[in-house]
Amino acid sequence: MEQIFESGGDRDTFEYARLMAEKAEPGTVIALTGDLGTGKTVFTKGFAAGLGITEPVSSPTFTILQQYDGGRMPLYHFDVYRIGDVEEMEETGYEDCFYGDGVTIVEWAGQIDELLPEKTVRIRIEKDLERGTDYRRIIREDTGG
Amino acid sequence: MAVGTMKETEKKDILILGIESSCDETAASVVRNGREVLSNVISSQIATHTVYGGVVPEIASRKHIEKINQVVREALKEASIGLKDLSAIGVTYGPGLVGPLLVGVSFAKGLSFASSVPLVGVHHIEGHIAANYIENKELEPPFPCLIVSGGHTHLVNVKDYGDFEILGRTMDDAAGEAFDKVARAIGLGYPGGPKIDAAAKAGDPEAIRFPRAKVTEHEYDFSFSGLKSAVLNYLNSCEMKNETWVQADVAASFQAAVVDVLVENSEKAILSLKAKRFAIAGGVASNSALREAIEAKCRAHGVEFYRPSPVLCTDNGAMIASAAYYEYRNGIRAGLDLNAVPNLKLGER
Amino acid sequence: MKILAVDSSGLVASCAIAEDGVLCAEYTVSHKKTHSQTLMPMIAEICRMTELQMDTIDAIAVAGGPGSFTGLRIGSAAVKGMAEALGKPVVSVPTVDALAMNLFGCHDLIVPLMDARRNETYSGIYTFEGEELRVLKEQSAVPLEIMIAAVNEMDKPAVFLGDGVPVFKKQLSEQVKVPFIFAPASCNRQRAACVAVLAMKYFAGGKAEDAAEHAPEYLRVSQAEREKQMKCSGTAGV
Repeated sequence: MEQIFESGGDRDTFEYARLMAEKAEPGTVIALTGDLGTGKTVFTKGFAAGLGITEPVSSPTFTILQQYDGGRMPLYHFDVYRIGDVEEMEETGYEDCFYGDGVTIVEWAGQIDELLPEKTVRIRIEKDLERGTDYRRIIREDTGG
Repeated sequence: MAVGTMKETEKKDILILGIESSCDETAASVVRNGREVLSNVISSQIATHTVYGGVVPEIASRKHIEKINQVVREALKEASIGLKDLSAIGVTYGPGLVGPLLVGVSFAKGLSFASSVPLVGVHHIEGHIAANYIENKELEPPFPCLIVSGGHTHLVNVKDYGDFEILGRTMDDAAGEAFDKVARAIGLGYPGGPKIDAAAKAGDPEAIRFPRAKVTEHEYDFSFSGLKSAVLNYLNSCEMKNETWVQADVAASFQAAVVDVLVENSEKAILSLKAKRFAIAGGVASNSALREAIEAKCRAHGVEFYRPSPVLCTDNGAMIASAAYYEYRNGIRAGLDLNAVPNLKLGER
Repeated sequence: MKILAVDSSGLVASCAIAEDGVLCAEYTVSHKKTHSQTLMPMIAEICRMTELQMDTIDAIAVAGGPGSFTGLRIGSAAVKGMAEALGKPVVSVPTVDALAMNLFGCHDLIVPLMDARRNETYSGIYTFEGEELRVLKEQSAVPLEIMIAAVNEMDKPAVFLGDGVPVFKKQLSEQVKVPFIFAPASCNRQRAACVAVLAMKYFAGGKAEDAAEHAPEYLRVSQAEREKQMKCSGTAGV
């Protein structure tokens, strides 16, 4: 079942994620999909703030994974944009994150869909240029019961 | 394994084997006395043997564990030395991706233990800074340094060998990453940096005025995600209005926006520290527009400008060996419990 | 024949030195996954305690997979580094085979079960004929039900061992139709001594590799890979 949240821009996306983080449980995996510039990293920044992480969250596009330990539980921030072959994920230690005791956010999760656990929170962020350049539609679907 | 040893008279030289395996590359190099490169082997640039004995040109892949022995062997062979000629083995232990880091660190520990050659852990970005010591034999700290790559954007005050102060860093995207994403958005492909650099030469940097983001709370910090969004918005709005955009102009204008911000903060650092020298490092340091702009700015302030050659800008083992040399000279050694630290902070020991 | 063996394929970190029929040293710890920090000091310790002259080793053995990607990588890289320094060959031993070796002489079905997440297991079926370890079903990464079906089909009593046992206990008790028992703490997890013993056999049989050639075998054939393989066999080049 899809839940839709309408965001007027970065600030709304940030706030939406922040509230989600306050209720998040250990072992949560969030699959974030959406085109370039839709605000996936902004979402992650908001989520980090909700966990109480003060360290700046920067894009892990090159490093694939950044880990933040300063919050109420670890945040594993993946960006698998550069992953060409699912086998490359083996280098990342992703299993320890997905099945660990923190929260994992995977940007561009569509690239590694088959590695995602059955129970995953899928978030899709879409633009709708008819509604303006800042508008975003955030669609959430929780899979796997 | 390499054969050949040094003459007794030369033993006073300090030879370091540097091993780099923090992200995409597996690299190894032998450097003498921190500045002289005897060999520099980078995995994406050598051919490897297939299981069946044929030789295929290697496309950059991330199979570090499959390449590390060959790369190290080749480095020792090219330097005409054996393991016992080494004073130390330097290895990147962070920051980076945990898998590749662990391969480098575990391998280096095994190598160190079994050959009784001391081990030194190296911070990847400190390695990038040290690339300048190789390129410019007379360069010594202190000096401010701008490190710009796909994964990092840092402005650092290098106070002494092994003594660093971060002045500023990116709040979101690294500059190199912004290059890659914009390159993709305008149809230029990978690697984005060199492609944009080349395309921009035929374009007008003033064609589109993209925003130069300032981070108000921290004057030396950078932010590039707004610029990335601005480029995407520009492309989208052109499409919506059925207007064409010129690839070379977008490339040039985007590049100008990135360079302006990098140069502005660098200049602030030079003035504030009253620096006589300034260096750049990292993959984006080979961008021609950036080099020219910073060089011009340095000239204007009477400041010596330093940068590594392109092959030392991208990840390599020589820069690690150089950084390791200065750690070694400072008496720093790693134990067999050295761990990979994916978010290792600059200056952390 | 002297072998230095390492196993970091799972939660257990283990290393051993074996010479012919004698286990000179073994150091096995099952406590948190800090292999990246603890494994090398453990290896150094047993070498020190046995006053090992490292150039007297014939080969360095490693549990080569399957297992935790990270764990395997740590063990294999350490072994590749040591072998490189010493100019010695590497012997890669299948992880599940080495686990089965724990139950030397057992004539029932030996079924190691490693937790491979997502209700899958790295597993195989073995037994002993005299001194020889017989592989009845080769190690593979499969859903648990497949292993249970295979065991039921062989219709002989079984012994289960490995870190998958606590994870799968409920399903095993519900679905396994043959009589079975669980191996006790003394022999239900990875041990480098088992890797060493199998490595001696491999080495004697000429199955060793140059350190440069060795890499872990993850045994994970992902969906994308299967599809790619199907496409490759059907089309002429991509």
